[in-house]
Amino acid sequence: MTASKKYMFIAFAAVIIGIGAYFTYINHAFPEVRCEGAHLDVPQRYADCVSCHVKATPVVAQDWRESKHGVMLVKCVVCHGEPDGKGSVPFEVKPNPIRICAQCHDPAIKRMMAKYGESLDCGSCHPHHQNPMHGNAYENKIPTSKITLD
Amino acid sequence: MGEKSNSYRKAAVALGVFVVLCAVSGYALHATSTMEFCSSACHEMEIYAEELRYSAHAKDADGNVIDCVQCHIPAGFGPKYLAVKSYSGLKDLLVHFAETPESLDRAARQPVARRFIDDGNCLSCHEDLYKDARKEKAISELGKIAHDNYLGKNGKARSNCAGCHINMAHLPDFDRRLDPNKKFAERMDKKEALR
Repeated sequence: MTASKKYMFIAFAAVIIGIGAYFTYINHAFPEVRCEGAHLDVPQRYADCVSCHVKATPVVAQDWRESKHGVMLVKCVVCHGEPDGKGSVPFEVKPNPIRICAQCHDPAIKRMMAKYGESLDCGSCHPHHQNPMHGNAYENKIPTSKITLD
Repeated sequence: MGEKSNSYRKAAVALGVFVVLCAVSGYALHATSTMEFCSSACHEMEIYAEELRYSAHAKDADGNVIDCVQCHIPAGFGPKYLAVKSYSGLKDLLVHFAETPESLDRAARQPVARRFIDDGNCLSCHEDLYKDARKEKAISELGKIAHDNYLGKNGKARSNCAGCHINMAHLPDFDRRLDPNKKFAERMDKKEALR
């Protein structure tokens, strides 16, 4: 009886350790977020995102630079936070739109919600990186003001 | 019956069970890796197979049809292969029984799929990162800068291929607005394959 209990315990422990090793391996071989690790190597460049990202992700860096946020010099850290995790904005690749956009656009979000109801995804209609002056980012925009170009 | 022959019999049974399990697993790994299985076993996958047909990754440079597993499961039989195969399979089962096609949030599924696209799979066809897939034309200046960075010649990114190259084979409605996807969206509307 005691011997079979012992074997049961060993088998149970092996299963638990096996499952743990499985998920550890998966997280190690296929990390969920791959960019953050690189940031921890260069703390002196924390606030100067663009100097690296113009090389690492040139399209996103250029889209930001040409977008309204770039023209107004709303820096990366304002929405994405700092990699050291300090400061009031959490370091996120995909910031929570309601929380982060509302930091500046709260009145506009309230107006939009009153008109169209709650949407948790600002970016699908307002591409925050894509340049509104080039391309067709705002092609499908529904006009909300009375000012027209023609 | 002696004590010894009894334990031999036990060992033989255990070995037999192990061999049968290995054979069944091997067959299952093979049978669940075909294009037909992926696109017909679960109705959620039909849309992905349909989109793949009109994508740039429908056929390789030699004109052979590209299978799902050529991108989504790491090549070769190793720990990477087994880990991704089992993890994606269990995840697919969970999604199949927990979600309906209407509730399936494709935007939420995208990062999971991209996480498990092994760079080795991309590099097996795209050997020269400074040329296009047919190794004829050179890529753009921006592309060269980005690939320098990927290869560690100009800083070092830890993104995988699919981290930057999105919508390579599938195009959900919400990604149609992106400029690089224009041709893909047109092909899908006209229902014509690339070549």
